[in-house]
Amino acid sequence: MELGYWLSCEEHGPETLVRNAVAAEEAGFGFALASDHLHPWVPAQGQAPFVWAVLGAAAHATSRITLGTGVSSPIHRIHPVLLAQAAATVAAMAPGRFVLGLGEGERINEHVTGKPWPRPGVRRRMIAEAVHILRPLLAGEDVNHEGEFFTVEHAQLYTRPAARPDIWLAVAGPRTARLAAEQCDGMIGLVPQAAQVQAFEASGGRGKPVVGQLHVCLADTVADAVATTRKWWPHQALPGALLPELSRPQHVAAAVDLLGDSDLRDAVVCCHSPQAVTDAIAAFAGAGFTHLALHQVGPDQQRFLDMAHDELLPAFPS
Amino acid sequence: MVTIADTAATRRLLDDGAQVLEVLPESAWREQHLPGAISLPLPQLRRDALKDLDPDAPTVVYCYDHECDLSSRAAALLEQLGFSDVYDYSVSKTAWVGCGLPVEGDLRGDDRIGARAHRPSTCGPDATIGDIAEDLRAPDTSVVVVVNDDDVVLGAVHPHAVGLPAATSVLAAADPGPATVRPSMTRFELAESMQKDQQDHILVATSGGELIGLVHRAQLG
Repeated sequence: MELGYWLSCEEHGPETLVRNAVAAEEAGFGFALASDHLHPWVPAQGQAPFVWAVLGAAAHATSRITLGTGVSSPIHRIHPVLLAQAAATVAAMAPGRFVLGLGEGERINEHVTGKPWPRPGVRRRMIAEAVHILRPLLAGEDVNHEGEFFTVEHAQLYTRPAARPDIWLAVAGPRTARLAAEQCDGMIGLVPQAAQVQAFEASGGRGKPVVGQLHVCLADTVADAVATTRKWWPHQALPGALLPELSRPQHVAAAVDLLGDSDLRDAVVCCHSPQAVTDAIAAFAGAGFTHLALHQVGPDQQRFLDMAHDELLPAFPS
Repeated sequence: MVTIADTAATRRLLDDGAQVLEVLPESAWREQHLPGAISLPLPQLRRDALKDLDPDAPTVVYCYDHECDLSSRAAALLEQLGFSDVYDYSVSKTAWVGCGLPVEGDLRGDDRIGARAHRPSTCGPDATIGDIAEDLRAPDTSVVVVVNDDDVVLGAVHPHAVGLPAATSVLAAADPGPATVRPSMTRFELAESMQKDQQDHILVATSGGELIGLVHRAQLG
């Protein structure tokens, strides 16, 4: 199991994120994924820097750790050609250690252009079409494309790394699992469910990375961890079907007011020692995940990085 | 008097020679029925249809499943018609075939996935990843199944778990809810659903959760 670190762009400003990427590399993490948001989930998180500027700076400040997005969404906010250019530029700054994470996006980030928010099936088709554009662009080809959602006229990337960076796709069901297996280089899953991994592997994904995300809040006490989660990452406990549909951070804040502490503890590993984190990592590995990005909720990143360095990373050699 | 009989009691009644009536439409009986069962669809259950049966002998009636009321109504009707020792196997044929018990009928035995399942590697709940590392590393291993002393499925561990620390409990690493299917399902039904869900393999278990085996999609062809 290769452990990675989550650069939470909703909670931290750009300079902090770059420092955290350096600290994660020093702690021994193999990869770090950054969220790609225009807005935070709730106003209290307070940040949402442009991920490509952050990753460019992080690429310059680090030398070994693999960097990536978790995840970018070519729905309305960014055209696949510009996404390809951004990814190729960062990949050129971090040759061999950049991965483009893709997903279907959320209304909270995508509604800003004024276009209607598409239903999940349409977003799935948009992502499939975007992958069809991104792959040849990232490989340096001259791309022409006239599709259902996107048009590309003679686009070619002149700044890019020697090898096409990998694309990992966030998987929501068997259809995206197949797309991830057939057209991408890995899958990202949010829950340790063997069924999604099996669908990915049965569609040709066997041997490719299966990447999970685990939300942790390590604090002095479990009660402190729950309080920190309530302030900084409460939306994780909302139903998965609701979150992509809410359009403003204020809406998410109103919804999370309905949650109890036990809801938060179900969604985030609230703990004061590594054991609960170790158990959660085991569940992902047992479900077939090969990579797991750990997100420490709240401002106290150093406490978590120290624990990872001393306890987690030695226990889970990649 | 009507007595509700579970699967174990029904097996004993059959072994002891009870008369058994399936009250579903005859087409369902023709496809598969409990060993020795007579087809007597409920709409035909009149006194003259019972003349070859012994009203004083133990008589078991069953239908489709626990939600189906045909066997309960048939049992009550038999009692009214003078049968003195009636058993309603209320969970019925679904439970019987779901336990992998023998059936008779037109459906070929090897079209049932129970006949195609093979025993996967298993371990008990107290095992560690180190204990099952060899099984996890074997090239043909899809999954190692965690079972209790009664062979009830407690979880399934993916081969990737071999990278976990050797002392990790298999229960911590196991998917607690791997999908299972009943051995009575036909290979045609299963192939279709596995194709749709993009499953490569699936566990076969009884309706009580006891492991029967593992079946791969390639074996269903």
